[in-house]
Parts: sequence; C-alpha cells; structure tokens
Amino acid sequence: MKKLRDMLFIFVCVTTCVLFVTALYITVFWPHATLGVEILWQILFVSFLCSAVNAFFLEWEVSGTLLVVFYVLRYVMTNGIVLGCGFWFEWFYADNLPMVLAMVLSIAVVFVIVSVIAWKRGKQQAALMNERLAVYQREGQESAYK
Amino acid sequence: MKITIIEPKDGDEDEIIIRCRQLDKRLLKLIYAIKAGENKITALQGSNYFQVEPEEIYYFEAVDNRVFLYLEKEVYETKRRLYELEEFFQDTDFFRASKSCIVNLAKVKSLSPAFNGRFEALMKNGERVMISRQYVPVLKEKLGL
Repeated sequence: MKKLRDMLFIFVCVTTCVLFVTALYITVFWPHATLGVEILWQILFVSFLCSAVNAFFLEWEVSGTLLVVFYVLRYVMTNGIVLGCGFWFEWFYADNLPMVLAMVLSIAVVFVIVSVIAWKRGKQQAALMNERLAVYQREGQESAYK
Repeated sequence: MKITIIEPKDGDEDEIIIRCRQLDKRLLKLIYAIKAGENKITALQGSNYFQVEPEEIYYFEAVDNRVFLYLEKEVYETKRRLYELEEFFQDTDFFRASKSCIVNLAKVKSLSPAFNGRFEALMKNGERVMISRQYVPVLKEKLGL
C-alpha cells in the first residue's frame, strides 16, 4: 500500500510538472498548433513510465557510490523515456536542435523540481517525527521517575 | 499510584502483578522499562564477558555475521543474532532501523531525511545511523504517527 502511495505521489508530481512544461513548450514551439485529445493520453503515458522507473529505483536500498550511480541512471532513463516517447509521438524533430535542447532542459527542470518536492516532503516528515521523538523521550523520562 | 510489595513464599518465583483499570501509555512505559531492566545483554570485549544494561545501548549492528552493540563510547560483541535481539526487545525503546541495525529510540537525538525516502538518525553520542525506507513505517508507528 505504501509503495502504491509513494508511486502515486511521484506520478502526481511528475504529471503536474510535465503539464506545465508541455504548456510552455507548445507555446514556444507550436503556438498555432491545433492539438487533439491524444496529447493528454500521451502526457499521462509518459508520466506513468517516468514514475514507474523512479519508483523502481526507490525500491533499492543502496548507499555511497552506488546511490549516486542509481541517481544518474534514473536521470538517464527518464531522459530516454521522454525523448524516446517524444520522438515517437512527434513532439519534436530530431534534426531541430533548439527543440531537442528544449526537451532536455525541460526534463532537467522537471527532475530537479520533483527531487526538491520529495526532499521537502522528507524534511516535513522529519520535523514531525522530531516533535514526536521529543514527546516520546519526555514521557519515557517522566514514567521512569514516577 | 499505590505500590505494594509482597514477599513471596519460599520456592515461589518473583512476580510483578499490575492491577489497573486500563493499560495507559504511562503503564505501558513502565512495563517496557521493567522488561528492558531484566533483559541484560551478555557482551564480549576481547576475551572478557560483561553484562550490559539495555538503556546503555545506543544501537546494535550486524557486520559480517557478527553482531556488535554500541554504547556511548564502547563497542561490544554479542553472540545473539539480530532477529533474536529484535524479538528480545520487542515493545521496548528498540526498533529495527535496517536489515543490519536495531536502534534505541531513547538514544536518538534527531532525525533528518536522506536520499531515496530514507532517514538518518543522529544519536546522542554524535554517531549517525541510517533508517532504511522499509523500516520508516515501523519508526512512525512507534512515534504514534
């Protein structure tokens, strides 16, 4: 259940960010395009794949160098998914360098935003746990002296 | 709270009976403390054996099939397995923090987030212990979250 909740959290973050970036991307590169409903399914599909890959990597308990390797691997795979799907869905032309660069930059921005959100969420949880820890230890001391 | 001490008859085992309307948090803590108090750990340092009070222990760690217990400054080895210690200290201040670690919550100074949904516990002696993602719910439950 917790795994599903964590994956859903990543999915919501990724989808929200991808939606913003897509809106910006379309405004810049396809300002006069008439888009069909399929773009929404494409965005959801890409977001789901990215979330699944990231959730998969979260399952591994690693530390040190391996943690950095996994983090880079997550980023590379996210790039692969978005660029691969983007090319398949014809979001950009491979020979149009500004479009490709804009896609790569968008992925980096979304990746950073999602990482920061996850970090902030962890900080909030830690703050709450520290509050409870103080109460737990205070109660422990009180009962020891009663 | 009224405390009555009755001397048992010869041959009878020492026994603690708690008469209460309901087990509240304070009473549970007392029970945990009594349980922990009688659960001294036999520890080894070099070729000498020691009896260590659980409340002195900061954490247990399994390294290469050996289990070590860490006090404020000293490190001892115990012949018990980590899963045995986990069962032994069930319902006390100790909790499983990772596959190789059991931490005494009473000795944790603060908690901070680490990568991949893990948390890091800063112990009161300055050491840092990683709480794996898998065991974060255990810690939260212990803290009543």
